[in-house]
Amino acid sequence: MIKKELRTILLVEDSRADAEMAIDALNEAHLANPVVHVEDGVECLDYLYSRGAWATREPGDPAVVLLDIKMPRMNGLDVLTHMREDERMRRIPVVILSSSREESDLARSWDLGANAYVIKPVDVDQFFEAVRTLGQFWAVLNQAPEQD
Amino acid sequence: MKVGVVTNWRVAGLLLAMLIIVGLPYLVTLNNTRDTQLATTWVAHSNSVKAVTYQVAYVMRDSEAAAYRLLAGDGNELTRKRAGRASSEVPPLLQQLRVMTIDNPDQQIQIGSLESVINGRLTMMSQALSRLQQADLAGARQSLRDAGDLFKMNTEIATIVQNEDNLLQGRQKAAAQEVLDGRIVLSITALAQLLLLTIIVITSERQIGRREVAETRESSAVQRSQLILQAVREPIALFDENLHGLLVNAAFSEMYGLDPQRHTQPLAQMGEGAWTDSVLLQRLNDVLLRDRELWDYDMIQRTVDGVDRHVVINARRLQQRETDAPALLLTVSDVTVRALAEQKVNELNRQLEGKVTQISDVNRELEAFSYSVSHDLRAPLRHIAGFSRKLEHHLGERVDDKATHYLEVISGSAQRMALLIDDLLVFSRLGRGALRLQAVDMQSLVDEARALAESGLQERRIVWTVAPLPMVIGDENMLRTVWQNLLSNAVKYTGQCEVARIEVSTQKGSNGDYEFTVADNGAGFDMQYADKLFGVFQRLHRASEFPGNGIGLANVRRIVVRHGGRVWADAELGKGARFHFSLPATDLAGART
Repeated sequence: MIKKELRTILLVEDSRADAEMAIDALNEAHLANPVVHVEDGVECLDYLYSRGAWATREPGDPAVVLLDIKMPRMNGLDVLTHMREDERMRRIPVVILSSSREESDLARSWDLGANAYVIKPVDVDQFFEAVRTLGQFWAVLNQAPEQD
Repeated sequence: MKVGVVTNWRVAGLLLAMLIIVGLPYLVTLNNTRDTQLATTWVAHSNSVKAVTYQVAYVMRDSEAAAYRLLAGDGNELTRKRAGRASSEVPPLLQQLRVMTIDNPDQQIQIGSLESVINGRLTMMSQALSRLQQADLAGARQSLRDAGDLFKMNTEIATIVQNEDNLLQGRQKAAAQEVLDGRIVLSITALAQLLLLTIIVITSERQIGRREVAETRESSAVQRSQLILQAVREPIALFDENLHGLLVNAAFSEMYGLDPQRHTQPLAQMGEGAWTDSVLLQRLNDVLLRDRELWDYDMIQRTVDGVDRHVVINARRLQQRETDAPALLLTVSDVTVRALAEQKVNELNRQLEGKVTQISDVNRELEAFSYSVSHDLRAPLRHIAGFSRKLEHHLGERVDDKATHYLEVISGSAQRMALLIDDLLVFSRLGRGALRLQAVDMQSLVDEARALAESGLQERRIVWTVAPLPMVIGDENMLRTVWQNLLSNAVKYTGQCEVARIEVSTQKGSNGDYEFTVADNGAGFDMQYADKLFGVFQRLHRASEFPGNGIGLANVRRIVVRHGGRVWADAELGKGARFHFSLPATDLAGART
């Protein structure tokens, strides 16, 4: 349990404003899990593989990756593809957190193996509620297989 | 083949008949002549027989008369000789008679008895002559008398003559009969000849007539085909094996400016260089020499009017009937108009393809645009709302009523803009994407939409009248949106009525279309703004009066138009509105499969 509580929540979001709001929402959920924010797909993979700027980070996979789709350099769907193709990462829960209601984005995300797809609500209360719930569910309620 | 055999038999039969009819009279005549000759011979023969017989009688009597003169004392030597001649002359005569009548037994018998009588008389006479020599005159006289009395020869002579006469008569009768028979045969053959001639004359007349008819028919057929050939608008010409003109029709003459009288010039000299293309001439020679048909040879010819014509040339080899020499039938189809039209069509197609490319480019841009709208425009709105909330939290105790109001307006506007964006995205999505056509039960769609429109309005009194509705072919989700919009509008705009009356009906349009109508007794609208009704974000009522953002009817119109129908409305302010839409009649049975 202790180990699990220490698992990070990885927030992949290029918009600083969204990231700030999401972090606020997660803080309101009073989670013990640290929240790590990276700003695009490349940085996300650096974190997951503990390389580049994240070479010296604490080992261990995040409890959940909250993944935006539209990002510079490498977008969320590419990151998801990469993760599901890698034996070591395919079990890490990924929640797509996107502004897009496009059917095509939804369908592709599910096809690529996303664990959930959440549309960022414009309504601020709904937004906070959604992110809070997500954090609680994936960091606390969800039972993930033990790490090697 | 069969005709030949029949003709041969007929010719053979005719020849045989001719042979009989001409030959028979010849034979008959020949026969008659021979018979006549025979009859003459027989007459002569009979006369000879009679003459010899009479001579026998004469010689006998002459000898006997001479004997009597001797008895009477005539001692003349000549008389003596005469008396002795009978015995020497008569037997050869009798012998001659025998020979002459050798073919007639009757006469032979008569001649036999005559001979015996004669012999008797001759014996008596020689007795008388010898008695006379012994000067026994009485004995000699007795002997002579006995000869006349005992051996009478008149009967025999007469019988022989009579017999010969009878014979002659019988022969003449037979000859006459034969002549008669010959005449009958001749008459019959003459008749037959007449008949044959008549038949020949009639037959040849008829054949001549038939041939004349056939010739007339053929010549009129030739005339007709000439007329057709000349009237045909397609140029047609016939050339000999050296490609000199044999026959050209009017269209050919006209197209290549030929003098119809001088069409025998070589093809290469016709039409001022129109026919100098060496490849074509080679191909035409191939047609003539190797019987290779020339099929739809395309080329451009400058004809005498100076126009470049697009022509299609066909040629094939024919056999000239009279000379058996090969001839070339050439037809020219002027397809200039068609070629120009094709060119134009191709040009238009190219333009259209360009337009299609442009349109799909525009569509792609629109898609990218709406994607970016959905994604990027929403983010700042979220931030406005989120940060006004953060500001409120940050101010905490310091926030006053005014600040609260401002913050509410800020976040409310952001939310409203988010709704507008969502609506706009739905609207744009309705215009893209393929229609998923299937059989749709309008009745159940209306029931569904009605339930949705009524939900949460228990205090309202609404009287619904829904007519039986048909099955149509369409995109079920889109048509559901249509009914939801129309019925929720009807419910919304009758909100101020004590009793709302909403009526859904259908009828067949003049061209077989389905027409659907939703009528209500609500607020209605002013008809002068009717054209704005179906525009995007166009509203005829204030939001405080009737909430909404003016996208619903725009969606309705977009869906109905995409289904090939149309939508219209009529209304009276304060009395209600009627919204109509039509869908084209479709073959349900065919669409269900």
